Amino acid sequence: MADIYVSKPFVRKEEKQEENVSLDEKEDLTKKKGPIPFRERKSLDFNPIASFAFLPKEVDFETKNRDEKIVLLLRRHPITNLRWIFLAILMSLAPLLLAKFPIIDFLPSNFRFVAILGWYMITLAFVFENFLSWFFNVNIVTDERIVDIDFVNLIYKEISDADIDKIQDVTVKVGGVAQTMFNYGDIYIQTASEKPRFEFLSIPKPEDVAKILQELRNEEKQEELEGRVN
Amino acid sequence: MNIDPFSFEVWSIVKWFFVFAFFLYIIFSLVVIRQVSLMNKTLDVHFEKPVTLFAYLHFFFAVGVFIFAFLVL
Repeated sequence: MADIYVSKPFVRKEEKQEENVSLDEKEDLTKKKGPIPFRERKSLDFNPIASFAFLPKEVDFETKNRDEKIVLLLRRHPITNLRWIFLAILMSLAPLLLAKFPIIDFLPSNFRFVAILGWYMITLAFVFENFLSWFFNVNIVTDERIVDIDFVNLIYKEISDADIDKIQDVTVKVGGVAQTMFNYGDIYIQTASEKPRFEFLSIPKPEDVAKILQELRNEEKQEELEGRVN
Repeated sequence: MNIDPFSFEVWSIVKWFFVFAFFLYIIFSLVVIRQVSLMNKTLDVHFEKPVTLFAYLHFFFAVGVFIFAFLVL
């Protein structure tokens, strides 16, 4: 019986090389071939004060459904905190200026001391309130919807959300020296839900966020089409 | 020793003004504790302990300054 030669399946050189590359190298390849779909990426170690958390496992929010998966947790870029940090430093140094500008010298010494203590208390409150505002005003992207959590002041909060399939348009805006240097910007999301416009302001890596939103929208469309076929 | 009764009266009023301001600040620090608790319920990122601790330290600092002002002024 004649032997039948079975050739190895034809594999292109490029594809063969790609099988052996590590994940880091794969990231480099994305620069040439486009981004890796977010589901294939690994979640990074979660840092609770990070301003960009991808697939954070230990995050939960008030209106989250049980089977909902958080894809992104976004805060304002840390560089945007510099303004109030600088102001807080100036506020804490202000009492030292009293030696040169004795504006409260008319007060007795015990009153002066208590006034300075009060000033530091106000500075502490200023720092804490600004930190809380940065830390808890977040934008969340899940595999089902986008959520915007806003604490406007001490007693007022606003949580709005829109389903991914209600997203109509995503606009990325990066402008100015600081935004270009530190890679952060604004994302405006037009939706067909009750709240027509969502604003993710000063968030890091806005292009990546827009790409992930695009992938999620495509997935939703695919699911919708499959649902119709079945 | 010659004490000006008018001056004494003024500083006594100023003292109560300070004490009242610090009392209001204690109420503010209580609101902050409540706010932090609500915020932690809204968003849980496993960082509630440091934030809550700081809120309580802020409150105790406010109480300390209130008592100090009451005793020293």
